[in-house]
Amino acid sequence: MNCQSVKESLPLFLYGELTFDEEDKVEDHLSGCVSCREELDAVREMNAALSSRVTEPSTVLLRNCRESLWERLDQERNASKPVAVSAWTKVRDTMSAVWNWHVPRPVGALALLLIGFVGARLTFDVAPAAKIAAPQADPIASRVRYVEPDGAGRVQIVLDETRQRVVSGKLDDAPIRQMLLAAARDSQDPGLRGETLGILNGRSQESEVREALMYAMQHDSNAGVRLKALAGLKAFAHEPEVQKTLAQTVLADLNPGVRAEAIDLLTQGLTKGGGQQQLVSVLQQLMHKESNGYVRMRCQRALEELNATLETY
Amino acid sequence: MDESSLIRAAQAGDQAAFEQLVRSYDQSVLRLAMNLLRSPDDAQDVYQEAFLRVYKNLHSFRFDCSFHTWLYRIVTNLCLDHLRKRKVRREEPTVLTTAEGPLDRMDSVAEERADGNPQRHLFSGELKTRIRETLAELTPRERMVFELRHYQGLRLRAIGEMLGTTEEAAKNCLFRATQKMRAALGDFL
Repeated sequence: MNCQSVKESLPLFLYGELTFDEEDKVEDHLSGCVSCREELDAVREMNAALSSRVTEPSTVLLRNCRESLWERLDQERNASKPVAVSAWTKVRDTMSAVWNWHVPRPVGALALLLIGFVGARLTFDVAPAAKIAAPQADPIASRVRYVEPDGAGRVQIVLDETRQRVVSGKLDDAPIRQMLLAAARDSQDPGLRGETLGILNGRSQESEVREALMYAMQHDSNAGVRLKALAGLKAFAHEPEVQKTLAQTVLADLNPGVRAEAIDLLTQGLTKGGGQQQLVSVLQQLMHKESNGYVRMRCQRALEELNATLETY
Repeated sequence: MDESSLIRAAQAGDQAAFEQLVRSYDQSVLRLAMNLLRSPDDAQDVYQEAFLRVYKNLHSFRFDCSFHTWLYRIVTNLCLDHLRKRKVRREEPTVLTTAEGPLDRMDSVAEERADGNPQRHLFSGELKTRIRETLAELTPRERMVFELRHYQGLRLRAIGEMLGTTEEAAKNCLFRATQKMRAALGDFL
C-alpha cells in the first residue's frame, strides 16, 4: 500500500471497518511511515472535533414529544372506533335496501351523486363570492367502515370516502374565514396550521382572528405555529387580553424561542399600553425560574430597560 | 418482560406494552433526528411520524430482523425525506443572527452529554461553523451513513440493512463522507 491509499483508508481504519487483510496492511505501513502516522493523529483529532458537536435532546423536548405522541395515538384509537350505531345503521339499512331492490347501477350512482350534491349544499351556507367546485367523480381515499355478511352468501361493505373539493373566495367571505379558523385550530398538520395562521395574520384587527391566534399561542403543540401566532399579534401587543396571553406564554411555554419572542412583544406592548407593574412582576417571576441562558439574558435586558430589579426581595 | 414479549403484547393491543416499547427507544430516535436535521421542530415531526408508523404497522413486524433495525429503517427513511426536501426548498436557518450575536436554536433545546468531551469548550466557533457547513454539504445518504456510524456507533453492516443497501455500498458512502470532511477540516487540524 502506498501513502495515498493508506491515508484515504485511515478514517475507516479508525472506525474498525476495514477487512482483516486491509487493516493488517495499514498497520504494517504505519509502523514504518512518519507522515502517515501524523495523518492518523490528524484524523483522530478530526473525529474528536466532530464528536464535540453531538447534542442530546433536552428532557423538556423529549417530554413534549411523548405528550404529543400519546395525544395523537388517542386520536388514532378514537378514529378507529365505530361511530354511533344509530346513524350508521340508518345509512347501512338504506344502502341495503337500495342494494336489495337491484336498482340499476347508473341509477344508484346518480342517486349517490345527488345525495352528495345536496349534502354539500347543506353542509356549508356558502356566499356567492365563495366557489365550491363540484365533487370529483372518483373518491380520492376510502376506508372500510363495516363488513357484514348478509346470510345469503354476499357481503355488505360500508365505506367512508374522502373527496377533494376546491373552495375559493376572499378573506371577507364568512365561510372562507370560518374554514380558515377551523383549519388553524383543528388540522393535524402543523404545516397547514402555520400556513393558515400566516394568512389570518393579515386580519388580526378582527377579534375572532385574534382569539384564534391567542388560542394557537396557548394550545398549539408546534413551536413554529406558536411563533407564527405571536407574529400575528404584534400590532395588538398592548391589548389587555393579548398581554395576559403573552404573560402566560412567557411563564409557561416549553420552547425558549417562543418565550424570548413573547418577552419582546410584552415589552413592546408596554410602550403603547401601560401596566409596567404587571410586566415587571412577570419578568421577575421568569428570572426566578428560567433555566435557558439566552432567555434569561433577554429577560434581564428588558428588566434593566424598565429600571427594575432582577428579582423580588 | 423481555423485548420480544413486549412486542408481542403490543401487537395484541396492549397499550402499556406499546408505551414501554416507545420509551425504550424514543430518546435515541430523537437524538438521531435532532443531530441529523438540526431542527427541533423537524426532529419532533420525525419522532411522531415514526412512532405512529410503528403503531400502525406493528402487526406486520415478523421478527425477520431486530426491532431496532426495523424502527431505525422507518426513522432513517423519514430523516432522508426531510434532508432531500431541504435541497429543494428554502430552509429556516438553525443559526439566527441576533443583536447579541449568533444563536444556534439547537442550543436552546439541547443538553450537553453528561459524558461530554471537555475539549469541546476549546473548539473555536469557526471550527463549529465549518463542521456544520461541511455536514450540510454531504449528500443526504452520505450524511445519514456518517451520522449512524460516527455519532450512533452502528456497524456498517447494520447501517446497510437499515438503509436497504449492502455493507459495501454503506462503506463507500462513509468513505466519501470522511474524505469530504477531511478535505474541508484540514486547515483546522
